[in-house]
Amino acid sequence: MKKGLIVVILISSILSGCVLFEEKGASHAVIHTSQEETITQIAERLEDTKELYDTVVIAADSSLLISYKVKHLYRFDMKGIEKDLEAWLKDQYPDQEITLSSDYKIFLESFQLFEKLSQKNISEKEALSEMKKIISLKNELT
Amino acid sequence: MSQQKEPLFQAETSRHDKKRPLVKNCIKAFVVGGIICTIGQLVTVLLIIYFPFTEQTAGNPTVSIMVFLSMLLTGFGLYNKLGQFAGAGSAVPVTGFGNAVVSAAIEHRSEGLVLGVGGNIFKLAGSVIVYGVVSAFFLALIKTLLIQWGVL
Repeated sequence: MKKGLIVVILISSILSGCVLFEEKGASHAVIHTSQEETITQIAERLEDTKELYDTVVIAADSSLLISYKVKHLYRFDMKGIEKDLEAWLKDQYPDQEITLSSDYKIFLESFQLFEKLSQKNISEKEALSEMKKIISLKNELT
Repeated sequence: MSQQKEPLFQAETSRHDKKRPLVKNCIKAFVVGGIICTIGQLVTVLLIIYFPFTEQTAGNPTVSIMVFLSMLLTGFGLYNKLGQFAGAGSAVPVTGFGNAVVSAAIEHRSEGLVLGVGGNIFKLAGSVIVYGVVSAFFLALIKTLLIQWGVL
């Protein structure tokens, strides 16, 4: 009885790790339609980066939100990947506020926003405030 | 005085001593410590998914939850059984900190609440707090200076 309980807890806690590695694929959405070109450009750049596997790009007129997951073997070089991407983005889109994150929570939240945007059941205003919320979550420090 | 006798004496006693199963103990500690850390990772993932914590900010609440759980287990008398089986595997993760605090409090309960529990609760865990705070202070000092000088 006791042993069975321990085994069940162990297996469920180990298997719960799988949720982190569920692949969602590349996804991108716009809040303002004028940014369509931007996101296809960024999506191409992210496609070329072999270290990343799941990416979410959300673009508004004044801000860009990009989150991604890094393949496990390349996680040692996460800082370098972020630096490269940030430099490229700053160079390409100098007048937009860029938020770049590899954090799992940011990924989850922006993926939810992407789903809402692609199903079109969210207004522009709501989407913008949600995006702002995600950006402030990213900038939060301990 | 005792130094003259010691080598002989020690050789004699160690001949009769039961040999410690060092490798077995290490494996036990490794496995149990790993399981405790897996549970900690589970708590982190739950905090990330169901609460507004990022990977960066989920660390602190995870530590406090794990310490709290080990305090409860110590109070119910389960953690010392685990400690007997796993040794360092149960003492090295943060859960060992909660165990050290509560076991000292339980042990000195009979001497009263103020002089017993209050005076002795940090008997074991106090050194963790002291050295933790001191080393954190110096690290923060070094980091601040390096940032000021533009190295970092």
